[in-house]
Amino acid sequence: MPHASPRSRVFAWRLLAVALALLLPAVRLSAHPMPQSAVLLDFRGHAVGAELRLPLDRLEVGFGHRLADDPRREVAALRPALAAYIAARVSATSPDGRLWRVEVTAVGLDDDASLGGGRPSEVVAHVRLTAPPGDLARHFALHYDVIQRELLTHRALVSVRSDWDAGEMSGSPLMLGEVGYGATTLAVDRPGGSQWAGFASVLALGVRHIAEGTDHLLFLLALLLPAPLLATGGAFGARRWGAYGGVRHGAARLLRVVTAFTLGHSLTLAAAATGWVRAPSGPVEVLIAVSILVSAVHAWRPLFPGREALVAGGFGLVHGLAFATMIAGYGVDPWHTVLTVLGFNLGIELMQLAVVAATVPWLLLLARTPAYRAVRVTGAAVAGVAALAWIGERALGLPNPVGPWVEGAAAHGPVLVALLAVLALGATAWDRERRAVPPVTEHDSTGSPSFTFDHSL
Amino acid sequence: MQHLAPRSARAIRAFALLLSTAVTACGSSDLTGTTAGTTGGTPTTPITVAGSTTGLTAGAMPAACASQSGTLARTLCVFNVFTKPLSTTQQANVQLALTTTNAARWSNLPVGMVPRNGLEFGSLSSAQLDPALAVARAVLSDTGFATFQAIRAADTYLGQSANGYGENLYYVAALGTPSATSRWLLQIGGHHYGPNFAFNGPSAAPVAVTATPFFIGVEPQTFTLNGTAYTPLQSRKVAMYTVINALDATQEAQAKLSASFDDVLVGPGKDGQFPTQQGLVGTSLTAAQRALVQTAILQWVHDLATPEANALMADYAADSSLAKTYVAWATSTDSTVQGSYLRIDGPRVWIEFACQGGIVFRNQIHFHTIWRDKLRDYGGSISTASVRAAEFGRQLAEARVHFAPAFGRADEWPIAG
Repeated sequence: MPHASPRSRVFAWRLLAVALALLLPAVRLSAHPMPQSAVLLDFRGHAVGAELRLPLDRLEVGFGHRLADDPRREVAALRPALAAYIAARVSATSPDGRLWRVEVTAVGLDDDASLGGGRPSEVVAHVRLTAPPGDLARHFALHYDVIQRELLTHRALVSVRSDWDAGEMSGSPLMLGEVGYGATTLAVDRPGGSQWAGFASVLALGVRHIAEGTDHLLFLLALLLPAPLLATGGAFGARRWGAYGGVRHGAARLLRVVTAFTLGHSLTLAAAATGWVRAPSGPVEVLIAVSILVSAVHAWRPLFPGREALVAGGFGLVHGLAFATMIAGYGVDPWHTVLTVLGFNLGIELMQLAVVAATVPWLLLLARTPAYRAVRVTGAAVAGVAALAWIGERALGLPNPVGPWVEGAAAHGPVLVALLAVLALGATAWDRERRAVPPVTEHDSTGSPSFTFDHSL
Repeated sequence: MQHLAPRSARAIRAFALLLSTAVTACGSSDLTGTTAGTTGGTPTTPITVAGSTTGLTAGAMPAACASQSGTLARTLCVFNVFTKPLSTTQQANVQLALTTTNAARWSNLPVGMVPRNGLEFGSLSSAQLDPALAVARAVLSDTGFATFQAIRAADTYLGQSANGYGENLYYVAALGTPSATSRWLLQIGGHHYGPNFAFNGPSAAPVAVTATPFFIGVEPQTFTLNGTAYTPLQSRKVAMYTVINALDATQEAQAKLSASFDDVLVGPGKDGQFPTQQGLVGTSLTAAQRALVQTAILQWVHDLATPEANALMADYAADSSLAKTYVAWATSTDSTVQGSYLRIDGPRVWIEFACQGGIVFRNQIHFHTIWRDKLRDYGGSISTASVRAAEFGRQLAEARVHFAPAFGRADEWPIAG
């Protein structure tokens, strides 16, 4: 082959490589639906819910009808036939040989456009397997032959998605095994458990979600930053954060903000978890980033002084929708849904209160000193930059290192709190010393009788 | 947000990895394409296109082994030449215990999804890699070595369009202590190339060396790399479809399987799970048609060193064997149709040819094939019972890929006991 100009060839290759590298993540993630099926099991008392995720082009071969040309229309038209096809290929038996009842409760398409490059790539079917009377539905043989009865080389990966009583609520499916050629029966053996194990598990999930959910915390902290202060001025633009409003003022405002946020997110968490409200996760994530930006700006200049609680409650509604995605799809019955929402929300509150308790006393202390202005503005800047980065990432698909960087810093939360404490104590001590030596020069022109400071920027 | 941010962090890591591999791949193609005497480039060791590690002149027989006769003695000698100068760590990595679990660790999937046994080619210096290729050359025929190199070239070609493929993502491992007298296995393979050479000792004559299970596949079917055009599985495809297309309408109907196949049936993890013979039996074929079956079988078998290939063919293609050998097809007798599937199923030999949709090049069919020996896979004495453990690791790897888009934390998945 010709090698007239290796250097330019190298350059061209590198250019192509960069172009491909820019293109490929998006292309490959969306254009590579998996060829095998997935079965996700949800244990609900005496019944087991099975969510079947069936690749459209494979299901076509097994089912014998076109589905992938115009999935929405074709699946809608063939829904009853598809349900019958599936029902004839899934069964379960108790250890004593008794057959379980099998009902196909729903047949639809995956609505997560990101999986199929904007097009559905899988049929999603919900099957309810009900154990015979007296069987606790913990041990059974799953017989599964969907697609693979006709397409012999097809396989399905079987996982436990939720098992309340065994505390299996992590959001990471627990892989049980595979059904396919030569092995169409899978033995399912779940350990015994209790409702407390499940409750403790969702509570821990809530705690962890906040501990790791940097964006929720950032929103709350940014909103708390100016809470101890009084706003000055009238119209927006002229308004500035002014003097320290006193402990009672600060504490009351903090309490109102935290309570309003809790009320807001509890409301939508419950509504979304029970299925009353459905919201696409993409816009919710963007709105959360926007909420951080708004509270960051507010921490810098008062946008809505005195109405923080209202704003916290409003954006709390949005954050609650995001919380709900964590426990969505657990497919539990109404009683377990209530327990899940309660436990998860309690975990969120506990962690939130822990963060407030760890930071707020230092903020109140700092607010009495001139150092608070720097703390407040720095905090607002960090939250603002993170919010903008997240907006870029979530709304525009621009990956950037800011989000991970902020999360990395948040992982060292105790260190940050310790720094805050040192800062608060140091600033207070320095301030005391300053106050203990009244200015004696004639140049003292403040004439101020009080020892509060103007925090305006 | 916890359930979003790790995903984006992963995307950034994947992006960085992709960028680095893409640039590396281009760098290496640049190297192999630079001929001696080219001006204007950075001075490099003069390397001809044929001198690429996927070329046919690579893996020359070490002088020390030239006097060895017989595939077993020659491969053993070359293997020792290859391993002797390796570091102790490398020597430990190339040498595994001969267990069913280790033996079953081969696959048709990219090495990123299913790790392979042994030393990665990419971890070897060029002085170490050439003897490793000589090991492959010693146990393969010239045809077989050309196929091996072409499949590696196909992965380099794929690597220019996707992450996780390349001629250096290939592995060499010995299971059991290499010996002239007792059983050991040699695995040299990667994505789309999975042979299991078994050295069965002198008492195993006439077939002292076997090659099955031997998976071989290719994507894309044809490609040009560094000025060389490749069609690695062309002769296999032609021979198989010639068999099926030589059937008359009645025979074709009898040979049709009612089920569908989108891959080989008795693939990795399915050791010993041969179904009941189905399709059209050899006694229903004419002598000329049986000769076509023999030619088709040969396309797989002649990749093994010639004396052993001849010995195996003497059994596979004996009149008594061909009379009991079935041919079968599913979905289509046209290799351009996705889902087209052909099978040769003898008393011993088992060959499958499956036309799959493209993975990297979505609009092109790609081939998966397997050659097995119902009596002598892994040399004949590996039990199939404990293959499950290795199989589960593969399943888990696939599950991670499957669920990764739906759940953000696939890396942390627990493994059920």
